[in-house]
Amino acid sequence: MTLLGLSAAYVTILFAGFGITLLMFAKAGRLNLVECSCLSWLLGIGVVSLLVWLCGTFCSGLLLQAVVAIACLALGISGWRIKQKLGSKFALPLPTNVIEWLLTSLLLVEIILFFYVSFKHTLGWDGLLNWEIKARYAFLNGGVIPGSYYSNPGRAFSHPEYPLAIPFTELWLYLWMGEPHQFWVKTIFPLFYAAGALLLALFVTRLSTKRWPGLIVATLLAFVPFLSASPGGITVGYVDFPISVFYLAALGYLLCWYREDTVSNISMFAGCLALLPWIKSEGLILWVLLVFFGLCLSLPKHRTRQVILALLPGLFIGVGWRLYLRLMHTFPHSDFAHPSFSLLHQNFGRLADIGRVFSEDVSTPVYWSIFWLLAAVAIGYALAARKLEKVILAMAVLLPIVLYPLAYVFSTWPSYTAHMTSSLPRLLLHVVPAGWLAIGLALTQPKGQVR
Amino acid sequence: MAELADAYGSGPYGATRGGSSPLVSNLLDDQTLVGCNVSRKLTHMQLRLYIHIGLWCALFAVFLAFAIPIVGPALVENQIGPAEVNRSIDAYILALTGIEHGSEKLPDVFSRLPKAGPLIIVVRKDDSQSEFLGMMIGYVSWPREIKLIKLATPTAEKELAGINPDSISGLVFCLVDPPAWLGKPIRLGSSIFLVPLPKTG
Repeated sequence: MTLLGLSAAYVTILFAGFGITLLMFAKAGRLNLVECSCLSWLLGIGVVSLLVWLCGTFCSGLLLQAVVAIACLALGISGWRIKQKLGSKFALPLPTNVIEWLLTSLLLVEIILFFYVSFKHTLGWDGLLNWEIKARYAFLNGGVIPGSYYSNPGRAFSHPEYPLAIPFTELWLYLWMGEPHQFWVKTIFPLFYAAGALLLALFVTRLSTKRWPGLIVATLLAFVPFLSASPGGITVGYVDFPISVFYLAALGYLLCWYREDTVSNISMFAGCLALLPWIKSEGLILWVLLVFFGLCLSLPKHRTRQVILALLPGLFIGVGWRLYLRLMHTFPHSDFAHPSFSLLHQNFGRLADIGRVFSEDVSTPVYWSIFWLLAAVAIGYALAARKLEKVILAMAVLLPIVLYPLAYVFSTWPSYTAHMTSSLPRLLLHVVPAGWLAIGLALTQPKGQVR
Repeated sequence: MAELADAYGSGPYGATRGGSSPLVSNLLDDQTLVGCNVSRKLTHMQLRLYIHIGLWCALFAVFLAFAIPIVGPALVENQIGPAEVNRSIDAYILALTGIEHGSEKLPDVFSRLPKAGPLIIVVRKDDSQSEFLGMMIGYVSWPREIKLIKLATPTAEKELAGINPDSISGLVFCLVDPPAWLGKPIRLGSSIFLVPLPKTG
């Protein structure tokens, strides 16, 4: 019964996501099945978690589950009908030569291995006490987190202010399984890896018009040690890799939109952008950066209105969540002080230490091997190309890496360097797939640089 | 190759096609020059391409050389499962306290405490194991209200002195020895004690 429930939960998530993907891509004519599957997962968890949260304000228990399930089915059916009406066709891009077959096979083996390794590990500290805890408490209360959880200072350690995309995806699985099953719930994280790796391959292929660099970087993604073999990676239930996949997806579709001005590209950018602050609080920083990049790319195309429209869904979600937290009298988090110029001036002396810890962190081979050196070379390639989209790509990798460490100027921990050591690597993980995107595009670039 | 095509398409190449110009010999010289330039550019491009391929091959090789010894062992460590409901929380409680199926046993113990008043969880500050265990107790004791107290000193005298015993349901000490004046504690596991109804000293 547990596995049957688990399957039903996945079917509803993917059905909802598939429906939205088809609604956005319906006019495209040719629908890439791999791309649609990845987006079905990303948009599916976004829709289901938002529906559970919103519907949970007026119903709970079986009624909540039924309402959300019906909404998922309705979305799936609507998407399919629109697709049929517009006559779009699915296409499965198959490898065309031995190398592509080899790299694709390796990628599939890696995806299977991530499931295997995930089953061997328990949820990590944050995975359990920041994220899964919300899913369990909501499950025990009929699918709704009790108001007392948000305002209880005793459980402030679990960060009640953190957004609910991942906890409510876990909750959806729990509701269908009928029990808060901590073993099977971990299956959602390798799925993020699968979606991230395949989208990475797809974006590099689409932007470089060559498939092999996309497949190379997608297979190498798993070899970043922090991602696959460290506490904080994919296998322990943290949300840092999922948010990195959403960042990659939003950035990828933004760059695709700059190259090919289609409604489907900007819609998908808007969808992935909207979910960034719903995955993790730091998603707000990535959201602001992507909006800025979007505006930069829209100016030469005279398409600023499209980007402004694209930022609205994320704005509604972000503001809605903040309002909800205020209504719930959420116990204020205490890791960072409210930023102000006086505090910045007061803590300015921290910058030297922050720089030191940052450089130690990025050069730790146990976490990253030499990934950041690869990313730095790719950024160099992108800047040397002197093309707006390449410069934006370089900035999309560079700016979060600069902004994240600077946030520790406002850290309230007695030892801000300890705060950095414990959390900075996870924040840097947000940029890793985007870094691989830059690397993948750098692989095909030398011809363009010869002028 | 696009650059090569551009080079041929411009300059004197077009003018030499007729072959009737009095400047043909000069143009032939020019063509030789262009040929040299193209050849030099081709060599330059090839050199850049070789450097590019060599650079990325070397970077990927070093990347994999560092990564594989770290990522590889992660595949073989631990075993799958058990596929139990409270897989994660039970594993942590067992490792920290020796209590099996802690996610069921501990709430069962806490359910016998008075309903009114928070459960006080005492942990040692800057001791990650003690703090983690305290949070796990907070996790499994839901929906009971809890209060975490972090001790900065080895004795709990100062921090516990201000607590009114009538306003709490019990005290749990995580990797901290309870003060003797609280009375005889109940040992729940190897490093976890419960004081059900504390009395001031």
